[in-house]
Amino acid sequence: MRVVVGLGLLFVLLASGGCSMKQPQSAQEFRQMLPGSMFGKQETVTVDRSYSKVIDTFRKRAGKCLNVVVQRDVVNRYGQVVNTTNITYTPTLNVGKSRAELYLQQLPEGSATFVVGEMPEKGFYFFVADAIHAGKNKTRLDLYYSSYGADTLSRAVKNWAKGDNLGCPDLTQG
Amino acid sequence: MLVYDSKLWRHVNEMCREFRVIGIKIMMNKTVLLLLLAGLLSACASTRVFKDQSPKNIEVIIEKDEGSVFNAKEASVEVWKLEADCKTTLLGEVDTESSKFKIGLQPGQLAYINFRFFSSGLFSSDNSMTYGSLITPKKGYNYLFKASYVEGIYNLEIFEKKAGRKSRQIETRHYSECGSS
Repeated sequence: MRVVVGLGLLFVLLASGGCSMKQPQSAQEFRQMLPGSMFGKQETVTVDRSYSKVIDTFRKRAGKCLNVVVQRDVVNRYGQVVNTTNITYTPTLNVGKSRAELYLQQLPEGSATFVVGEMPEKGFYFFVADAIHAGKNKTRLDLYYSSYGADTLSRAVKNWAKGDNLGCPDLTQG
Repeated sequence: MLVYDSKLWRHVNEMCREFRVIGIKIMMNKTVLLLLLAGLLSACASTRVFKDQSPKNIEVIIEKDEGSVFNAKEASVEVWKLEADCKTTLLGEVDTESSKFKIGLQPGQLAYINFRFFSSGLFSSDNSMTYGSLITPKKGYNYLFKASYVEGIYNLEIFEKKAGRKSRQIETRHYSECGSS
């Protein structure tokens, strides 16, 4: 994936950190800190699909769709690339008997990288989805994300949970 | 044959596309215009157009956002040939004027079909998204590639069908999986 942007990366980083110097160092910290951040968004939806089927889809799609590197180029007014940042996304899926968490981290590298606060080893926490068994054919999803940068991702994950569209999110999109 | 890749190749493609789409406004010095035209034409002439390698055995259907005057949405398809050592050779770019077309790939030959969706707008940054799949067509089989990029969500589904049998969906394989099977 390749995208040419100006200050997009800076905004994404600020959004994920809520402009504070303290960055979440775990998925749990992300859940706790997000409500107070500038673009933080929390959403709960329930889908008519069994927990095991939802997890099965997460397992298949997360590995295929979320292990990506996005290249962001900063261009000058003549269209020449003056800076490049590669953002490596790393998904993690932890599955329990009746509860699972899927989270995504973003690791920016390159000369145009502007990092606010301490970055966790695999990158900033960017998105967390909790899937919770809520009945025979019901699964509750609790989503935590930044409305700037992760809207498309949240739509894709909700689609996966419903099982009706297994497309991948373009992580260059907000 | 051109061997992948270079930013130059991508830029040439983009320039050619813009040349085709926008044309040139004659508001400049005639000499500069002639030089520019000569440069563009020679570059465009080198854009490799895909030529069928066999009878048409692959159908491609592309679905994408409509776009607008201020934000153009385009799609392109490239076909690459892969050697046993995974070295790639560009076979060419397919004309995507139509969202549904057929191409012919030689059975038994490993290839990579790459879809590129890109947008450019007056008030937004340029953005391009590429994805695709490896495929080794089998003799006597036909394939359907359904590629989409709608509202920021992309997908590629591949179906394999032998005459007289039901079609079945097969897994997409990323370029990096070349050599692993």
